[in-house]
Amino acid sequence: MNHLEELGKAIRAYDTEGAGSSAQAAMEDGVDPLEGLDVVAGVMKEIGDGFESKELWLFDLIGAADAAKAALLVIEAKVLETGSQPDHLGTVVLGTVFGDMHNIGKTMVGALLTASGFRVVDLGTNVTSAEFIQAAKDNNADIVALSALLTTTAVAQAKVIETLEEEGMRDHVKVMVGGGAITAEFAEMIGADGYRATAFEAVGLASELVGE
Amino acid sequence: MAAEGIVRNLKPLEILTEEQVERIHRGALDVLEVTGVKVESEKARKIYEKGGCIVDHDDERVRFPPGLVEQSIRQCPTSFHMKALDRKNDLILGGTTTYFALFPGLRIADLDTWEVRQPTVQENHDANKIADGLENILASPSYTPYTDMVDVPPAMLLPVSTWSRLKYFSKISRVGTTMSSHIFEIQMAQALGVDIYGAMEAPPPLSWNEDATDCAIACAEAGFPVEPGTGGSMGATHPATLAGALVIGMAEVMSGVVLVQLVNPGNPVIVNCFPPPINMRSGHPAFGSISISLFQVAWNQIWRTRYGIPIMNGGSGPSSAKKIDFQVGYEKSVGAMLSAMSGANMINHCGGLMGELSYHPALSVLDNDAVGNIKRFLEGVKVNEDTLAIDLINDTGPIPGFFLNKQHTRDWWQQEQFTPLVSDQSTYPEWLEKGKKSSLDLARERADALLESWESKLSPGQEVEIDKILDDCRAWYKKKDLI
Ligand code: B12
Repeated sequence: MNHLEELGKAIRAYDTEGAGSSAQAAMEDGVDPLEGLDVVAGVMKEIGDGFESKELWLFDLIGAADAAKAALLVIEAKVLETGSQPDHLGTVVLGTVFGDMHNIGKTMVGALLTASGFRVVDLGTNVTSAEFIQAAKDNNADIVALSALLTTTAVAQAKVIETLEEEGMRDHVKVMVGGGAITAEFAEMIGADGYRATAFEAVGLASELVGE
Repeated sequence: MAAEGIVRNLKPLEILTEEQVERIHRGALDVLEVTGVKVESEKARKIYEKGGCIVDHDDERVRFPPGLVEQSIRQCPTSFHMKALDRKNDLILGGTTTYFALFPGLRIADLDTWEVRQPTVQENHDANKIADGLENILASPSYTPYTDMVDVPPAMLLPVSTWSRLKYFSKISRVGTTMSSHIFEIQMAQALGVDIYGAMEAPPPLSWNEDATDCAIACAEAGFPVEPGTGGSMGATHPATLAGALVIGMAEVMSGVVLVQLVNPGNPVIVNCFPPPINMRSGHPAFGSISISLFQVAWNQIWRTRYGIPIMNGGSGPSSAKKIDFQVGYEKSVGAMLSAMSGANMINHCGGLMGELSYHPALSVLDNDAVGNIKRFLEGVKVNEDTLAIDLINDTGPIPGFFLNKQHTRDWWQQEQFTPLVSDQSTYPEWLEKGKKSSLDLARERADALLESWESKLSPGQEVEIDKILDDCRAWYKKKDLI
């Protein structure tokens, strides 16, 4: 089995360590990193489809996404080194907003976006607007995705959008919002580019926002 | 004086062996010693450090010597008294008494379309007034009945909710907290001279956010009881196995108890953990699952047999049903019955629907009846000379003997038999004649009647005082740019 086949197998087996090490081995062997990205995307699409058709469970999706993330870390470093142009759909900086510790929905959105070919930078929960902005800059993000389960922390989201504006980044960074507390009206009120009610729909929205 | 509550006259339901209890308990102590918990607040970490925990401030990690944990829990009172606005609703938490409380819902369910919408503040007041009149409901968590309300700025939702409860619900209430709202909620209770208990709700796994520890510290400093509680989801933020969820839930809650005891030794505590399994398709909590009851019953057994301090069950109240239908009835009642039978002292249960996302007063009326049934069951079978009725049976003999005409029946009927208030007990002809009403129709009628007859227990001066504290809170958030 070559290293890329091993990589595919590791992701299918939710083997984070194996995915990282086979990606590493492939890169050391001089495999084109773009080919590596294709393998990850292909397997993740398969897993995402399996989840959507209810053959697979949420733990399969999250397990595979974690393994994919470990591989992507290695492969993307190589991409940067070689200066090649990866054809992932776009980079999404994702997190639960400041003051809010709810974790589950946000993690699902991240896994499904990864499964659909987005590069996802997951900042975790309780993320300040400064952290969102810094990560968006560092990763040249196309989208900032905000998850919020509490209406009480709504201002935190408006603040991220304001700060993006102040920093002159609002033209090229789209903002999508979701989470239990958010409604389409609320999203509009704070000037977000889009809202969706489920993690599946979040993927469609992200594709729309990057113009796919 | 205290509310009657439910006094359990049965052996508590137990599902674990002593050895299993021991292994779970030891597992929790082990996790606290080896891994510990993440504590966001520096203030809380310093309290832990001073109290003898091993603290790594860079990593925000607090590790616990097992002896300190056990000693802290032993310091908690095995029972405590809480003073309500209407003193006949005071509670004595602990021992073999169980009280039922409301369960929150984000929005109001429409009884015709079953869709949800944001309630008005007035609807929130009304739902409180209705619950105030329900005899088997004696307390309420925070952000209850509704969490979301029309025209309330987001930052004000929790304080408005507590203000509304203190005004229109004369029973025991909980402080909720986001963005330090507990400061004002505590002041409101103090202004009324009532007890309120603090929510110390952890974001699992093994973590305490600043709001949670701040609220616990402030309540303990004020001498108010604290409810360390964690809301994990089995399979997501807690392990998928029941034993694993118990170990981590115990560890989380024990670490909360330690903080409270370090702040104020002997402060009353009530321990809560309510992890539903995750729905492995949608990611939403699968409220109403029977595994929650397995968890709660085991939880109650461990705390009762190891420490005997007051226990809360927050997991058996919610159901995943969207309608007030068969599913909501069985999910909630089975869960509540098992929680009560296994020794929970407070059960958050009434009125909530759709897994915390909706609420309706008519459901609180129905749940109140279900609690009446549970109450009667827990009171058990009274066996004495008079209830055995041997002389009466011998005197009455076979047919044409009859008990309907006996004084004994008149003496004992109301004590021995529970008559539900709104369940449909009519005969078929009565039912036809009265318009084929369901129990939900009857519950709506009772809700309307309770609303109509509600009377305030506040003096006008008290009302002005808590209105002013709410204004202070609003001004404070404005100044902080949060409104
Ligand atoms: C579990 C839970 C907790 C756990 C969280 C554990 C954890 N580590 O995640 C704990 C116990 C810690 C908790 C704490 C609190 N909670 Co809470 N919690 C819940 C609960 C029961 C489930 C949330 C959940 O996980 N849902 C499942 C996931 C899958 O759904 P989701 O996040 O909405 O995500 C889906 C979509 O929204 C979408 N999505 C998510 N993110 C994004 C992002 C984008 C960009 C897009 C497009 C889509 C998208 O995709 C997901 C899948 O389809 C809800 C009630 C409920 N039934 O929903 C209350 C709830 C969210 N909590 C609530 C409250 C009030 C609190 C507290 C303030 C309580 C308190 N202590 O006083 C604290 C706040 C702590 C904090 N600072 O964050 C309220 C919020 C009300 C409001 N509107 O403000 C709710 C609604 C309950 C209620 N009664 O109203 N909570």
